[in-house]
Amino acid sequence: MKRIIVKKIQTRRSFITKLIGAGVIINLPLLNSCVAKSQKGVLGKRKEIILKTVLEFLYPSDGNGPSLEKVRTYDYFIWNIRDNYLDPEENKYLLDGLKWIDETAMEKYEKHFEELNAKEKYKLLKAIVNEGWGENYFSKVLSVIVESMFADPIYGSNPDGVVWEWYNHNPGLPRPKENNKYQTLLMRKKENVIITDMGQL
Amino acid sequence: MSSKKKEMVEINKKYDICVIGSGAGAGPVIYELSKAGYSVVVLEKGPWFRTKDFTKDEITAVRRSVYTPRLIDEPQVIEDKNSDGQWVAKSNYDTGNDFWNGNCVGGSSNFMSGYFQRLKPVDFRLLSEFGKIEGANIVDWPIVYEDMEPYYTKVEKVVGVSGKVIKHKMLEPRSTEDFPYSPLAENIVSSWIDKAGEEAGIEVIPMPRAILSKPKAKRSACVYSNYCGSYGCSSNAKGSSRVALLHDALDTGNCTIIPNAKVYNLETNSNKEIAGAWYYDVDKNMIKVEARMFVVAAQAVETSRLLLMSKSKYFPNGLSNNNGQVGKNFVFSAGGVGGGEFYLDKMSKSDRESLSIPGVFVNRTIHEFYEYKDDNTGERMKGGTIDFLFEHANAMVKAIGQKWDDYGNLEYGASYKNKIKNYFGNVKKLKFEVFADWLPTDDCFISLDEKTKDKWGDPVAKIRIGNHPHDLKVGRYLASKGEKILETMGAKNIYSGISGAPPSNLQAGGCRFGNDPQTSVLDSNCKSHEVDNLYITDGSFMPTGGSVTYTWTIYANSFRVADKLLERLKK
Repeated sequence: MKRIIVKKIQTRRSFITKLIGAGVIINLPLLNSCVAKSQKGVLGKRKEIILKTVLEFLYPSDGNGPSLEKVRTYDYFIWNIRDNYLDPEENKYLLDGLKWIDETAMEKYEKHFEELNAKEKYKLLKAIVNEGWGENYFSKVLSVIVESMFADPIYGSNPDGVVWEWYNHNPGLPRPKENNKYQTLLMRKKENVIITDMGQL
Repeated sequence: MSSKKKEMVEINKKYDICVIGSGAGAGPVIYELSKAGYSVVVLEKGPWFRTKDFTKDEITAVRRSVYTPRLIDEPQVIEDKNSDGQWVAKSNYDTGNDFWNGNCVGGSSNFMSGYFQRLKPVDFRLLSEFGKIEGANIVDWPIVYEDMEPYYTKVEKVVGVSGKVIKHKMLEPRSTEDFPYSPLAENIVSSWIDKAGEEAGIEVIPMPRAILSKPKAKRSACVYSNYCGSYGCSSNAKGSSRVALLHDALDTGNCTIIPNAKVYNLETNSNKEIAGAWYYDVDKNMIKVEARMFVVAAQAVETSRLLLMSKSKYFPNGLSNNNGQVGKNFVFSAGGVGGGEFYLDKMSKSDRESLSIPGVFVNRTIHEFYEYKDDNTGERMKGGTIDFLFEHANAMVKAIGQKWDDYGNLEYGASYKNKIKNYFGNVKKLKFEVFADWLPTDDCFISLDEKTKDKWGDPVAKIRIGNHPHDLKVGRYLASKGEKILETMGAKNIYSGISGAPPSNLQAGGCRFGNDPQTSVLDSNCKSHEVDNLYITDGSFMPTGGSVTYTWTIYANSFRVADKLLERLKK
């Protein structure tokens, strides 16, 4: 039985820079080295750094399972936002959130996000997640992370099913191939055909 | 493509039958009339996905709008009551409250789970059996169970239903001893549910499925892929309209299916009959198809919408709507879901290994409370059914479901990683689904939203989803029985949720059938009271929904109407 799933998009409302130091401060690596050549530069340097830091914040590479670098989550994120078939508002939201994070850094520290040290970045993200818009935005990014983790490797992430193996997950069979993956099936919606024979089942 | 001048074209052929839609409501009519030698043309709004297109790819099946339209292209407007009791209409493009199901050749039957249960005789006589309920438009059906029984049996054979009939308190009359296909393989948990039922004094019975346990003609038996509901079947074991009916219809040479054909108007002539169905092709050309008879089976929301859009001087309020009944008394399946968890590290190695076998089915249901006596008043009540199933194997949905803590705060970081590691590795969730009557009321109906247009510029459906409080009362009673089974099994974290939020895939009504032309859209043969060459064969005809999933009844009724059509065409 399919029950209602409500899409909730909350934009950044009046965000007051009121940071409360709480929780454990960890070091957030910049992860510049993990940019795949094909996707490098798509976002611009500033947003690229913010996104990578957010990914690490939400799903840290702490040795507990494959890192998002190994999963190729950043590339998946870029693939996602460049997918014209997805809701353009949702993809704009994914990008806008990166801009809002930088704006928040400017409000709080009068510095761009990439100019903050690791502790400041962590404190900032920790404060943002406690804001309504921030929690909603990070929730959306976390869903993209999960997609990248469990997607079939044909979409570029989860190489060799490394995440499936870590979580002991059995993917269903048959798995998609080039001739029946997502992008290929979208083409069926444009087929101008008349069926008089289905041939083999 | 967009710069090309759009054309209006009339196909130079008159068919015997034009069918709009190709799912469970359409398939039997297409199958029977093609086999009888009549020329049938099928206009299907969605694309043609072949069996080889169906994989267990969660991105395609669940995370993207591949099998359904994008809401930006084809929104619907949902009217819900806010906390102040005011009706508020919102586009589902803004809310994600999606009521589309399986737009493609074969319709949503491609993606059903195939839980197949018959209505019971009392469902055809709800008013007579249980009386009026204030605020609900309950009526008896114009036919009785015995009229439908031969067609339920036909579906078992033609579409293919597997299972085991056992005698139980609420078993409906059957003309055959058992199902033509033996039960599918089961998980060990099925025996645990049986045992818990015995201990709790609740009668647990096997659940039939529209899934083949052995090959049938060109179709293979189930391969236990572990991904059934929401996914197309890659072995053709699932009884979709596409593989069970349309393929054979095409083999007759009398059937033509046009996919990506969005019907937007049923044109009427001076005889107040349908002269032609107009559809947009992929290039947005407008094409007219002529036929002697027209059968609409576009799923309940879109069927009412098409009739309401098809205005003419003869039907200024929409086709077959001079009595104002089209779209009214829309129903869903009432109820909700519940579940409980079992922890692999708390059980024996043998049980752990057996429980973890992927793909085999749970297939257990409870019918004992289809009728019950109210604990307080002793009043005889119409109840419903409780089906058991494992949580879907979808990894993304499972992991995303874990991202909120018990207080509704986002989980992330190391704690989230540990949480999903434990959930995937150690937790097996057994769920139950409750099905009860969604009583028809004046607050649940389909209309047109003239302000919101789809990508073709046509007004979209507006769905008001008011429910009757009685539905919740029955749902909670049934959920307590489901919870009792889980408690007896020793499940942890048991929960249930009964609400007025409808399951968008279980929709019926809007063009109810009945003997009175003033209060119903269709007659007892599902022919329009007002339009002599219009039939409606999806779930729209149902004046009340019963307390099981609809698909078997929709299939059976479509076979019944096919016989009526054949009788008429032969005259």
